[in-house]
Amino acid sequence: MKLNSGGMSARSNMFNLYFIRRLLLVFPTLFIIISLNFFLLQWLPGGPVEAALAKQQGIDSSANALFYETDQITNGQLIDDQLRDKIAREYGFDKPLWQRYTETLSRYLSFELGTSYFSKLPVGELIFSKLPVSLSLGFWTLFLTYLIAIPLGVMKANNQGGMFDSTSSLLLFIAYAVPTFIIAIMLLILFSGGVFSWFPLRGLVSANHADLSITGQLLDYFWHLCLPVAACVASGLASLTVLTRNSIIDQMAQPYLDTAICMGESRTGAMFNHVLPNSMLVIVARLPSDLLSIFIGGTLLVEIVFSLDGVALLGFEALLERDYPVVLGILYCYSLLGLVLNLVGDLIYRWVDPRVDFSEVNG
Amino acid sequence: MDIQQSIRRLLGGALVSIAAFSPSVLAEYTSHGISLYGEPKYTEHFSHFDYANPNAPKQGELVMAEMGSFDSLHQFIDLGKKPRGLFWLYDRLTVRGHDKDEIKTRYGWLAEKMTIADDYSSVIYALRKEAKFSDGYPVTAEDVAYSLNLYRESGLSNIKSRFKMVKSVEVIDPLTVKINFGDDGSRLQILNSGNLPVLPKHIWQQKDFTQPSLDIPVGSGPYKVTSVDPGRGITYALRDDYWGKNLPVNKGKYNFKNIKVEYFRDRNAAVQALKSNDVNYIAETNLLRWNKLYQGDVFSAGTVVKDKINYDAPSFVTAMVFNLRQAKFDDRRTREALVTAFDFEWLNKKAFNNQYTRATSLFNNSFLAADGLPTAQEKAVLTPLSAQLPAQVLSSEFTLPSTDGSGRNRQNLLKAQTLLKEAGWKVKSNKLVHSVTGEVMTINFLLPSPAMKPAIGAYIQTLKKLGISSNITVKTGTEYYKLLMQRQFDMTPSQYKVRIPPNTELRSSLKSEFSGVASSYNISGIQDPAIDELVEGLVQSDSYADTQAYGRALDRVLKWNYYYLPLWARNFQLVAYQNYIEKPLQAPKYGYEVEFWWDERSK
Repeated sequence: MKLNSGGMSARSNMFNLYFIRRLLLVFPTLFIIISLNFFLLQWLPGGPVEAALAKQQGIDSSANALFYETDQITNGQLIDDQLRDKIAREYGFDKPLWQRYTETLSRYLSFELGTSYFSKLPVGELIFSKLPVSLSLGFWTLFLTYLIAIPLGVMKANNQGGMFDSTSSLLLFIAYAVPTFIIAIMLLILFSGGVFSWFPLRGLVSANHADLSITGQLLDYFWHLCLPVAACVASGLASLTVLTRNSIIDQMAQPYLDTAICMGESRTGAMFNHVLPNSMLVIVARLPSDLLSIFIGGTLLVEIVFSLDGVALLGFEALLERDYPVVLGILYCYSLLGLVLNLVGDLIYRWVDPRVDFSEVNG
Repeated sequence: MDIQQSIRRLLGGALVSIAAFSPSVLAEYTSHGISLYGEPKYTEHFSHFDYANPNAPKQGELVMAEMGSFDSLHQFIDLGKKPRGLFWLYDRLTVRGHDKDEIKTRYGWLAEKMTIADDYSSVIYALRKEAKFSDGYPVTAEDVAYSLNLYRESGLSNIKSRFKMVKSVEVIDPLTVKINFGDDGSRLQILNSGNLPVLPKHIWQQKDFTQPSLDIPVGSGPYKVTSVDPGRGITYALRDDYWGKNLPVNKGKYNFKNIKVEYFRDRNAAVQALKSNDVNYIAETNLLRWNKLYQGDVFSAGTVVKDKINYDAPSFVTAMVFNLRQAKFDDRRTREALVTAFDFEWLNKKAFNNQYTRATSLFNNSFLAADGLPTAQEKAVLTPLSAQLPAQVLSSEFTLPSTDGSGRNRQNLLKAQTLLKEAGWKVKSNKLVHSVTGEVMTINFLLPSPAMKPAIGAYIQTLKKLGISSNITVKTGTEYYKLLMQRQFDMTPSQYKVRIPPNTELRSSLKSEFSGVASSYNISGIQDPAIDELVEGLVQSDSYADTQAYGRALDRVLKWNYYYLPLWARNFQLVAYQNYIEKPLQAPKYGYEVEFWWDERSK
């Protein structure tokens, strides 16, 4: 007993060391990511100065103009060098690159996200204001995907090669193959306007949301989320379902299952006690990246179709308009979150499967 | 009104008045309105504009669908995205009249009278004493001076340029303000100065004018903002206590009790909203979308009206311009060949249901567009320059090559081939090569959106027959702008809308001195001494006859030099609305104004 517990504590010490090392690694990783992002942005053709000038010439750089051509109307104004220099000064582009780089870096190290070039709002505030949309879309999509995909995968594995298995596969692959925004537009035209006006056309809540009762507000919220979440789930369902199905089939072929059944375990019991936990490993490994997608939430095009202003759309438009602080701010939060979630993912992995020993990774 | 004064005005101040002998006293005249040429159409005590319905009921609501998003309500600076309709919150000194027989006229709005110096060095506005902001403060000369100075310091770039020539602003008494232009004054400057939204000084003194903001603005205008949901929608309500509701210029105007502007990120959603009556008005800009997306029962049943409103004014002309900095486009015959090879009629039939008209001139739909043979006045302008002009300018009528639209464009292709030969191009192993320089003719098209790809794609097939290989580069937004300013293209579409009268913007887009300036609008890099002369003459002419002579002469020279390939003119506006939205029988000349429409539903 003693020996055992001693072993345990040594082990947990090793684990703690590992955990601390991983935490410390976050900083250099983040540093490299910020630097990469910063220099990649510099490499884009045209910067905020050109974007601002283009805007004054009436050239629209928004997502709206990208996906839906407007007849571009330029006003033929002469932009003199004075104005160019003034704008360059405004965005700090009169300073040399290395100086801008060090300034950016020191800002991010103190978790200072800066302000947007064009709306002059603090980047943190901007991201925060778009979070409700992204979190809603991301969370419910993930929740529903897991809720549907895992039981469906189990059912398909049990029906391997049967009628149910093949027809559901066909449907899943169709939903997977059709681009998400096409599904979104189809849902929009079918269920909110053209054919049936069952669902609202845009936004996360109605305009009169504040005047509703608590239940009313909740209902309103889910009513708005139905179509966008459905569109996101439709395309994300296939991979997880098939992964679950194949991993279960894989486990069911293992000899230990026969052993368990020979030892008197019922088939269902064996399924729940042995096969499922072992198959879950593969699915748990996916969790960190899935959780990360909650922050960005759904896909950009779904946000556009249903006029949801989420983080994805914010980042995309900022990129088009070369609003560097916003782009970098989103990437920074995303990287930070990614690193933390990866660590959490590893911990969950260990909790599900104690055989995974991190101390051995470091020999 | 004395006779002498009106004669003097008719001659645009050309007569030297008696008062000019004593320099301290300057002759001036006072009026309720000002027209660029001659007299304003409407006299001082007119009842309403002809394109207004004075009996329009004040009721109901207009719900407009707009695309995109907004994050600021401060409309007078470049920063931030602003929602539509904020200009309903403010009054201006004067308002534009645009009847079918008015060229450029403005009538007093906040200003009851304007007093104009004969040499156009200054204008004095006498404000109406009843004018008030929505918070009850009167609109004073102080507010006018304050606003003008704000705009000049840090306003939107286009407002800034409007007041660039202003030397100073003087407050004479609480209701009188004088704007001085010094020697730079002109009738046009004075006319334009009335287009000044007046801001309340007492509010802006405590606020930062240079930063975007979501504060609800205070103005003196007919509407006020009642609710804002940033990025999603904004609601304006008609003010019962609007001081100017009984002015003749506002008769039959501002008829909707509420105007909501709803923002969509997606066109499909906006059109669905129109179908289900969640919105009742959409302005569409794209003809292809107009034909495809606006379909269905509500349209065929007539509950939603698809309105194509023609207007009779200079409209947007889309033209492909050559990059004349390239040696391959030096020869006029080369350019003529490339213009001749374009089959517009076929394209219009196949791609646009014949809904476009060919643009023949950058000045289309205006009195500056040339037709037929040069008039005596035009000849007078052109003859001194004849050494630098193509011979046909003075002797022949210009017509663009046209086809029967069948897609078999043999005649024109043969002509193009002949022209290319004359210009020294030869076909060697299916490639067009210049016999002297040995340069191979290739054309790189730069497009700002994929929308024009089909149109140019067909043209590329035609060019192949002539031995010209070409490719298309599509770039959007900032990237496109960068390539455009670096002049990295052989041909690119450009949009022109000529202001009447043509102003300094014409210099930056046509004169030699701007062809090397990186951010100038002389995209094609035109360097032509004759054009420089004509542009200068046009910008400086101040009478109708001169403007017309110079404008038409310039038009001829541009055409005969084949400096651009004219594509189409859009002299219509597309708008879809629910059938209970009504509009006056007579449309104004320069595009409709939704302020004159009304809601038929009685509440």
